[in-house]
Amino acid sequence: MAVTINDFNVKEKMQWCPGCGNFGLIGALKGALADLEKNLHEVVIVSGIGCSGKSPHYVNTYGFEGLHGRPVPVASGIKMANRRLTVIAEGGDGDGYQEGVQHFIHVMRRNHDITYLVHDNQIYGLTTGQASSTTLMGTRTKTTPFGNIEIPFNPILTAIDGGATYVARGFAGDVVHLKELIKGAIQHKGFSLVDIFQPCVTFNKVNTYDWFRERVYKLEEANHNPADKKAAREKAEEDIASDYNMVPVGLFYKEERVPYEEQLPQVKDKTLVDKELDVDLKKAYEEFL
Amino acid sequence: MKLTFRIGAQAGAGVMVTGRMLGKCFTRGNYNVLGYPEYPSLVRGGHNAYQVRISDIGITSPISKCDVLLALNRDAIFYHKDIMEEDGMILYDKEIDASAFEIKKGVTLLALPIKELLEKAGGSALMANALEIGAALAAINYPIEIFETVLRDEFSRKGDDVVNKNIAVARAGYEYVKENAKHVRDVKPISENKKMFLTGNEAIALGAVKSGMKFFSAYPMTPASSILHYLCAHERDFEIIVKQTEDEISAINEAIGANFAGVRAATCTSGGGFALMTESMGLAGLSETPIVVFLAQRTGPSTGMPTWTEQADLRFALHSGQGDFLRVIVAPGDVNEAFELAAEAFNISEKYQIPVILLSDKFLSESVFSTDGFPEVKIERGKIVHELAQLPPNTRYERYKITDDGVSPRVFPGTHNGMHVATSYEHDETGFSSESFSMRKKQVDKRASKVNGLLKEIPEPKTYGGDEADITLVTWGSMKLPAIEALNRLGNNGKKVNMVHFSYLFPLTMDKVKKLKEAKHTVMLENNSTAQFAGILKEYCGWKPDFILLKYTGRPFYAEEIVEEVDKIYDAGFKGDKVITVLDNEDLEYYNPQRYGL
Repeated sequence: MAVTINDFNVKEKMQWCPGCGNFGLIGALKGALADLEKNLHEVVIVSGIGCSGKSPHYVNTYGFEGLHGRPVPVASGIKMANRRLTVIAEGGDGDGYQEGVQHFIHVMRRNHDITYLVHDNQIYGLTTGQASSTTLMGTRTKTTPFGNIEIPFNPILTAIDGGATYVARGFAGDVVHLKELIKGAIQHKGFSLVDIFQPCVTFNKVNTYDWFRERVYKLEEANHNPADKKAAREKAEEDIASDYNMVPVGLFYKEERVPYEEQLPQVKDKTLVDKELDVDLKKAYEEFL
Repeated sequence: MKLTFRIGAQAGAGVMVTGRMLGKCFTRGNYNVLGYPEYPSLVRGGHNAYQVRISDIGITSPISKCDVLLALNRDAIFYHKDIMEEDGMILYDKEIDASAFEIKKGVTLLALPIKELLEKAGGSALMANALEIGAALAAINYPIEIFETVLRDEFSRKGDDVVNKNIAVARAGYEYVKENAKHVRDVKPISENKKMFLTGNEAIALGAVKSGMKFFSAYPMTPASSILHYLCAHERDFEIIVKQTEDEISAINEAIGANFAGVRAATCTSGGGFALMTESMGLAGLSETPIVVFLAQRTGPSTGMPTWTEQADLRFALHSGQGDFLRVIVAPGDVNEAFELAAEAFNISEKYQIPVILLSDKFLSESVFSTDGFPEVKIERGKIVHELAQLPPNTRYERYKITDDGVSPRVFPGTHNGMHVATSYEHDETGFSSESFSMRKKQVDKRASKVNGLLKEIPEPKTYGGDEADITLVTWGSMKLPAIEALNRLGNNGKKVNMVHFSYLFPLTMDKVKKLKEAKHTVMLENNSTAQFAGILKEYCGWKPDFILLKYTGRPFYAEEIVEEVDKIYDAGFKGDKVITVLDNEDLEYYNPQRYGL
């Protein structure tokens, strides 16, 4: 029997604020997994801590909810242990672009075949409204009462330059489009980033659904070529360059590069979980004789 | 028969390689050997020293005496001349001006024309260490042929020419000493049996692999790094994945992820790196994901003295992570325990689904030890389910089911009907976040109750020496090594001393100190300044030692220091200071030779 989107549901109620962008995001993820006919038991969703961190609880696959900022290393470890699994890491702008930003930088160089969905709402939600690394300049938050004076982190540009092989941005207000981006990311062989504008209706009064709807446009409809790195960089800076009049979403950049775990001859035939536990050390001992 | 070489040179001059090859000449003659390196936290400049001790009976401790000194530079003569045995020999390069140094009467001082000998034998400057080892062997009349077998194995990859030139050079050094001096010791191989010669870290790595470890991720930090190096070099032979990560946080989280996915996985670090891992210790604790951490201690706090030894991270390991959760701490006392406990750490970690810390230190991790070999390993993975009945739609597997023994069966991703979330949040039986007060209590009690099964498995501390003793030495971890040698010496001097050694440090029960409570007088030995394990024994077992002997200079105890202090306790009629601190006889630092005008 083919998998349907309902199979990915759980009985528990999703505990996010009414109107939260995460509802659309999780819907898009479940839709993508169903469209790709993924088996529930062969998917692992890994999260950190924050509103995004609750995601594994709301999708009926395997899940691991770890520490704030650390979903990427846990996901990397899972993928290396068993590369048959579809591994999806979910973080937030605080969790992934601030606390755990070093893991983001290095996982791109390695190109593990995992998908990283970042719930980017330009604010700290669960800790009740502090500035994050993607909060726009001038925004007033609990920790920037006089307006934010730090320039925002640019995850798309960082990913293109950092070695990510699939770099996309979606908007939780357009679930159909977002679902296609997530599907592409899961199907892509290598590290894929989908940065997702996901309005925080409670704490971010600047970047609202309406704010995005007035500004976003789809790269697919703008004749953008995702194989063109130079063009991708330009698009990655278009939001700032246009003073946020033009905010592109869609697939910015894509390239083919062999994933980390596929370059290791010792797991070419058998992934680690399938290996015999016992190892003959006779030769190893001889080295010390 | 006991004999001690020292090799001294400038940092970066290859002392470690020379020491290890020299040691191998004797393990191939079935001798017990200890190789103990000392070096400052510098890549170039500073002084390096290496002790190679050999014996036909057990040998376990560095000492401050030397029979044959290989002085590879001028500083080495300065640093080590005063520890020479009066009938010993100093071998040094003819280019060195040694005239300024006052050498003890009786010591043979022999200058080697290294440059000329190398030229004559057709070797290059890179081969000087082979020449020096050849010379050192002649000083004790040990057959050069054994060294030739070592060189052959060492350089065979580089081709016959390199092998033959090294052998020619080694022979040149050997012959020169034979012709120009009388040997100061006369040592022959005991038998043709070869012992293994390896570091504590290599034994840890081998024990882990033998126990089925398939994934290892770590960030380099002295003195743990050589576990990572060894495993990286052999990852293809062992068919495992070994990965250097961007930091220690990533290292432990990758290993936790791999454990969750169903493979045995571990990490290694030292104190500073472990500080970064502590939050993840709690993650493993609450999510009940196994993890093994090889924690090699060095001299702290903070950067401290990075290349020297200490046992001061025990309390830190015991209390690492916020909140209450069970962990196990084991501390191998020697190279065989390093192998066995590394293997056993995975069994405990998987059976009880808890973090296990294997605590070593620079002394055990980086010293090289002889052994007759390692035992087979029994792998026990605990409760894991591979097949599950179908659940109603949208229902989760009860990963955290309340059980009698506190252990709930694990299921790995990829298994049908096992979907669940392993989590750092408090949770209900399915893993769904829960703040129910009764569920919170149940889950805390469940996790804590694992200790009951665990305690039944934790062995008694081992007693060495006879049951009848005036003084019982109490040790943990690597202090077993100098203490054992001190015990033998004290016994030879007619003192009735025995020893109780702890390799399993936590958890503890009252009965673990039964022998200690019956002992006449006890002396606790620790390589730290606050007697951390003594404090833990007092807290958990209600026992405290009569005397505490502490050393925290960066060096392990030397056997003779223990003998001296125990003698004093005897002489004082078991009265006197309760806390005794020890300072090395050789108080010359290696980091700043310029301090001595060198």
